[in-house]
Amino acid sequence: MGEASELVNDILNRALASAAIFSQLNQKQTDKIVNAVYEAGLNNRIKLAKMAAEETGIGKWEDKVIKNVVATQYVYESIRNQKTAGIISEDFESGISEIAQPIGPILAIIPCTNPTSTVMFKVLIALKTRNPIIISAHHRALECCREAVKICYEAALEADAPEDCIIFFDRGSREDTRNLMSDKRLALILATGGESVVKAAYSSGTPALGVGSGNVPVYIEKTADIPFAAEQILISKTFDNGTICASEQSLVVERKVSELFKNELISRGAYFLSDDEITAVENIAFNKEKLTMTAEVVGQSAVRVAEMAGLKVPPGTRLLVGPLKNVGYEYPLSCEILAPIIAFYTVDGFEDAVKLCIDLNFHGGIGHTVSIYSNDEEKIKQFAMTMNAGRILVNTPSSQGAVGGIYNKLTPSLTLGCGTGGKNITMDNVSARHLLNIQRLARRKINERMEHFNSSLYFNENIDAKEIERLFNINH
Amino acid sequence: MERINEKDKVICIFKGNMDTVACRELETELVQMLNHCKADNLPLVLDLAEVDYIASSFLRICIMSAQQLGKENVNIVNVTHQVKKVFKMAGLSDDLSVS
Repeated sequence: MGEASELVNDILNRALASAAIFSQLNQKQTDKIVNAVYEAGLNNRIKLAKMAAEETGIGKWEDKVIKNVVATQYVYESIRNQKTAGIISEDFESGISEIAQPIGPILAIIPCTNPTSTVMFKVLIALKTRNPIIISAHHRALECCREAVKICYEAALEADAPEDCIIFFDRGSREDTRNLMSDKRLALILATGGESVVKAAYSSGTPALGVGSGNVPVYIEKTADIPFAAEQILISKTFDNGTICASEQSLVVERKVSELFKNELISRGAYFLSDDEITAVENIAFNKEKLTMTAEVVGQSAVRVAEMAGLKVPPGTRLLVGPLKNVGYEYPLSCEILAPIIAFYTVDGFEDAVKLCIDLNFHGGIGHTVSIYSNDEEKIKQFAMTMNAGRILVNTPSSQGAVGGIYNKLTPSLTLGCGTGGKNITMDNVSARHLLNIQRLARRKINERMEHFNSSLYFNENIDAKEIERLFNINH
Repeated sequence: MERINEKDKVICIFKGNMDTVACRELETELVQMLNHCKADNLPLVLDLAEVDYIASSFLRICIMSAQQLGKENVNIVNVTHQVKKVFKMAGLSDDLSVS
């Protein structure tokens, strides 16, 4: 770790001063700022979506509008009534009061797949908790993120926010980013992005909320409503050309319904690849040395991916489906690829399906998201308890389902925790509540049983645990 | 802001919210005062006994004063505990004399 450059020093000193000023604001003043930023973000949802799609060349601007809506309207609705300043709860029974304190300057790492939506989401949850935020955007999404920051910052200042509550980290070198991450003036890193950036955040020594990668299996159980399932999966996997890390990656289908499901997919624009075509797609979509998807296919349409692979597919093709026999790096389509490409497995029954889903879940997607289409509650529960996933989505498009607020009551978020399996500290959908230090004011409430218990008995070796428990709880 | 010129120092007494607008209004007067302190080699005392809130602009005023007159010649006094915490959180308690 080197010396912080002038640029890094300046940013952190400004952020630190802003954090100090911000800490003086009460709930009402804070909420006024958050409301103003939310409105400005939502008002600019189309402009920012178009900028993001144009600059990155990833995904579809129409879907990015929806992402911007989730990041502003849905996120705002979920946090607007939360208490995040001062005393947030008082329990007279226990004598404990909770006090919310801001954590301090936050560094937000922004990916190129969901740039402006992630900026606005992170800005809203940071401001709601009275924390200044430094935005560090992916180099492919600098201009749209700069504009999103400008829009949010101007609205915040207009609502009397402290200066430098949102800072755009511009022109920083890799060394600067490393130094920024590891500087003791920084309170937290909110890292969303590829594995390397998340790893760098966790290795920095600064507390970090990172997000692991996904590899979402979808189990099509025999009681599922098959046409409905096919429709939902197409809606999800083609959304923004598959850029959401919670998008479906593999379909695990019971043999009994496999043919019907396949036909339903085909009738909605899916194209099933032959073995040779699978190889052609693998060659352009997967880097066999780095064992990861190639950047070129991320967020491209199915037709464009087919073109890149030299394939001829019917016009209007929306999804490329690769029937596979197994899971692993020898079968690249069984790995996470953020594009409209999906693996397809046929299995004999529940046991085989769950075992295969475990393999997929543990093949690069531990802790993230899994999905099931079924109308058998018992099987849904068994599936859920077996998977290692923060979000087990039932009869729901996983891209939109995992981010919450649209298809279910999960907390709306663009930062999806993956638990310890994904090397994350939380499995939650990250939101404002994760950006607070909660102090507990504990008033004297003596344990009455202790008062009545003869504590000298603790020193008597002839008294065992059961007897201590009996005497401790006697007459209680 | 009330300004008291004593023989051996200049005292500035601030009141209420020292927000961006209030700081901007004081700008000219503060520059004059700093020039006066510098010319006559007088220390400056910033009295914050009646200040409830400070904005970034006020932190900048404090830093600028210390830069121009030297840390030892600028004393920020009678701060409330809330304002003391702001200086501490901003990482300025080593660069400024706050009591």
